Amino acid sequence: MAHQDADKVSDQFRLIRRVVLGLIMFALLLILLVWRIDSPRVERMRTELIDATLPKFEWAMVPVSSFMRMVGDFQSYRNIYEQNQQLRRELQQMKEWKEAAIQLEQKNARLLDLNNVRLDPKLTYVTGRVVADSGSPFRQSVLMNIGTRDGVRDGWAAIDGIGLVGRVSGVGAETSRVILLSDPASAVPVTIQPSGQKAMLIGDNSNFPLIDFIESSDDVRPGDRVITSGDGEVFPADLLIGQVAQGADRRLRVRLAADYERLEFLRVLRHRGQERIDENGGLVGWPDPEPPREMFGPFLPQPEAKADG
Amino acid sequence: MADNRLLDRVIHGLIYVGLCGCALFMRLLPLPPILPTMPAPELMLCLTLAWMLRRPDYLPAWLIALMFLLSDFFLYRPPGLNALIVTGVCTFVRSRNPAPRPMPFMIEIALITVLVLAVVTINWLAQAVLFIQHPSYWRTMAVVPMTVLAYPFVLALSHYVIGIRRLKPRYGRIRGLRA
Repeated sequence: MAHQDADKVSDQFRLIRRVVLGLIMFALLLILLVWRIDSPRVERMRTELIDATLPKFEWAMVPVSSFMRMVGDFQSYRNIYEQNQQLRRELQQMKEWKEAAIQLEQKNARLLDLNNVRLDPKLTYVTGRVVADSGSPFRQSVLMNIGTRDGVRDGWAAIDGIGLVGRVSGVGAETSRVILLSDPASAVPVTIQPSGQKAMLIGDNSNFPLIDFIESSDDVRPGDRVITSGDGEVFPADLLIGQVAQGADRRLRVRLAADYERLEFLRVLRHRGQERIDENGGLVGWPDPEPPREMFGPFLPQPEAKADG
Repeated sequence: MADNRLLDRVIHGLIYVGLCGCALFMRLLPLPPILPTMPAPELMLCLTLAWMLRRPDYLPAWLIALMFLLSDFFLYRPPGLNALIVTGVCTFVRSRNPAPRPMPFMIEIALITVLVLAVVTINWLAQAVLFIQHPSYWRTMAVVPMTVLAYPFVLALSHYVIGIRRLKPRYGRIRGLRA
């Protein structure tokens, strides 16, 4: 008898449990559909959630990743002394390049002066540290510890001191997310020097993004420099991205100048947008929106006049 | 174990939340991958399935749904999709296996492989149906061998460190475990 009563109670529990389970799955489905339909709202919730929790755990993440980096560094060079020697050699080389760069810069300034062309003012930047990455080899993005509180805005470019790393997409108060160039959703308009051709750099989950939409690929050779072109106001122009290389599948790819294996500090460039020219100068053609003067005889009656009649 | 079953379940629930948090934390660290070109194993899924095959009463459905929803948010996946699928699979396991019996280890590995494969495939199909951008089938499938390889380690941790073992059947009527 007691068993039967207990069975009845457990049956009721089972029913309630089924209903609760159904409600839980319905709620999850609802969240998914809301995300699918109205993505920005849910993405903002996601950014706020990460913003609220991740900085609190930075104290735990930074030592671990620093330690792993140290271990990795220690393993990759047998010995600190060898590393020191290698750094000294690199420093020497960098000093030579610095000299060459300074001389080129002076020469460039003199030539531009001759043309009286105004350069873009130097792009200012905000520096942030990479705190976490999204954890998947197929979704290439990293999280930084700077956000709207530090003046970061959506859409700005991020470089790592040498070359372009990616684009800011999703900003919270204290964190922001950078989509790397190797993410399939990333598409950057580029110029290939020295032929000056315009192309698109599209990520495909590998470390060497694809170059697409080239007009004539004969003019492009491996080793050419790839820089941003500033088309479409996606990025500021003339940022170094890398060098052209030919992939194993014989398609043109880019060897990135930025080191994705050692992303530690990123610079986010403040880009206010290009100036727009919306009107004619008034000298050539005619000023909008007045109709053209009668130079060659009277014009045909306007369509509005016909509609009236 | 504590006499009070409720306290026991609460403590193990908190242990589960803590372990899931650790797994998520390790996923978010900017560390180099263990094997190049292979994705990281799904440790949360391993943990959940290991517990479901031993003490399903420690994992109420709402707890599983909540932890996987959080992991969806943090790992920039479609929110709710993985949570829905894993909750469904765990409910299926629970309904087919209310009083877990000892299973040979190889059978258990086979079962885990099938379950992980099911989760990943349904994920991929759902993303294809909803037109969500996702990698090709074989790229997504690469996570299955990694997860199955990580399973014995997660199982060892649960068995020896935390003490999640199958309940011995009680003398008398064998009742299903109240999940």
